[in-house]
Amino acid sequence: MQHNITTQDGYISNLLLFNKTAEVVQKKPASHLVQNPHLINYKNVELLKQYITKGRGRIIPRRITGLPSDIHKKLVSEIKIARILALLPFASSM
Amino acid sequence: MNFYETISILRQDTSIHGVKSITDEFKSILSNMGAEVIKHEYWGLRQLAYPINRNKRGHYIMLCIKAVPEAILELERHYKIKENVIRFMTLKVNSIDSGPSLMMQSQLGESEIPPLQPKVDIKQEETKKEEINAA
Repeated sequence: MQHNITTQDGYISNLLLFNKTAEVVQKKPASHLVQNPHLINYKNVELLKQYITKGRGRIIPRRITGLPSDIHKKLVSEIKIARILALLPFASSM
Repeated sequence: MNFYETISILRQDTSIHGVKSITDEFKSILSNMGAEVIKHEYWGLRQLAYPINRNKRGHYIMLCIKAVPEAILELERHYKIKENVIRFMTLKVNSIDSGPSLMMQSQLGESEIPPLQPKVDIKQEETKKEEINAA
């Protein structure tokens, strides 16, 4: 997540995150996850934390992370497993 | 025979001896059902992301096993009976690595979580305050 779309605190503005008409013009760099898909696991909590928002714990959409669809699908399912095991928070209202 | 990863979270007030005896109990249940425990990991007393039954922390135990589905049913039946188990999950996996899992690898560098603060009765604190005021 080294895009410029994050602010200084590491937060992504809600307008960009959940307004589906917002365009993300940034060029998306190839993630190391594409080479190492085995790293995507519910036990790798530090990695999964990079793909949820800091405040409310929502999963960051693929439109912004720029991951391939199969990698993103795997990531989402592992995040959901980690949530049930209380390793990651469920999305909460502020 | 399939490979499974089974994780259980124990209550925060369980002692370390209690954790050991409970894991041994689960292992004996599995071995009675003809299952083979390949790997056993204790992830320590971890902070939970959200409270479960008023627990803020929990002991995480992971068992990697090769077993028939009936053994998993029996193990989960015991999970439900045990009062110390606040949450559990069993996943079917294709293979099991013999080395330490990603969780253990990331924990090696981390410092230990500070111990839980002992509970203090409100009445005792009030009496102490009164004594101080009287003096």
